[in-house]
Amino acid sequence: MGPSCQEALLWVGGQPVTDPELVAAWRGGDESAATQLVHRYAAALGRYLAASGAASAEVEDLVQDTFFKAFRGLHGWRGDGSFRGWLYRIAGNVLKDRFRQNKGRVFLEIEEHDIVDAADPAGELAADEMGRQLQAGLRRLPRLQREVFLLRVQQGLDYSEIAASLGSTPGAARVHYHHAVRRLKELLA
Amino acid sequence: MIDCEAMRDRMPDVAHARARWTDPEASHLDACADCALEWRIVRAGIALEAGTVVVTDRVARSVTDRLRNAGPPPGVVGRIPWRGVVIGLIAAAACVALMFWVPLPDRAGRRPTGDSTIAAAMLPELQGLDESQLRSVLQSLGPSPADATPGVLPHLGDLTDSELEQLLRSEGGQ
Repeated sequence: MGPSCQEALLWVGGQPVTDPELVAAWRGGDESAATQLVHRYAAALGRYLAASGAASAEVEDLVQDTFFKAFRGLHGWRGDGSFRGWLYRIAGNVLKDRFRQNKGRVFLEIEEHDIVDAADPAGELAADEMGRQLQAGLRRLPRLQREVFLLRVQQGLDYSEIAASLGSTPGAARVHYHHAVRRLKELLA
Repeated sequence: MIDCEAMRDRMPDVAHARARWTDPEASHLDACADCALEWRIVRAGIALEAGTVVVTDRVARSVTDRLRNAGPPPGVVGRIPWRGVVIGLIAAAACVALMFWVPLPDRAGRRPTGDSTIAAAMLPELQGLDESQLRSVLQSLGPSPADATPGVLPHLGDLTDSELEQLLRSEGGQ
């Protein structure tokens, strides 16, 4: 899946507005472009940060920090890469900084709202159970494998975007993903 | 023949509805317990933290406010590693100072003495003095290290018999 499909999420006057176009608009002084980018990615970033171990009370603050740092550091973003991947990279750094400030707070809190709703009670119970087991399993993965799994599965990034986000290569991202899934399978079997 | 690794690569895309299982893949998923478990993990992974609440309007407002109050982002000047530049300048200045303060060795590898350094520094002033003034300057500097060393010994043939005998006694310890 190419970035053009992923990034053309908002439409203005029948034309798709891509991330690079919004970034260019913001650089040109259009404040609403920043607002659009926040609307585009804030919720997904929040879920990623929460699944990566952020306390639910801190998620919104971390999302805000991520966007602030992203816009302030836009000179560091090469327009040829994925803006979304770059955003996740900043989010990861913001979270690491917060962990350092909090001196290694407990990783991955499990709360009731974390588990997806299901239509039938039996399915809901099964989903609850699998969700809990998965969160417990993620806690036991090396950090890089956990991040790659979340970016690939929860966020739906492709390997090249994950590579850009983690400063790695698509091949290495794929290897980390396969290791993560195999390890989770062992833990959940 | 369906490859389980290829199935694993495609699972997130199918789960995000960006791709669909082919019929053989769907049949494999029903038959392969390994892939079926992976598929459950991926579907649970997609739902992780689905209930996380982020009020995007509030975030957007806060971000734009902060950006407005923070002033212009750091430009090229802000990104120059000033500490490195300052250290480099100090090092360069120290090198220049050493070149002037520590005299370089001559062709024979000897470093000039302090007196000659002083003399070199005084050269422009000395040029304006007459002979008598130069003499008084030389006297004020005192004897040079070369003057303090013993002179060249006279040739043995120039010594008288008594002087030669005295010398032999002193060398032989008699």
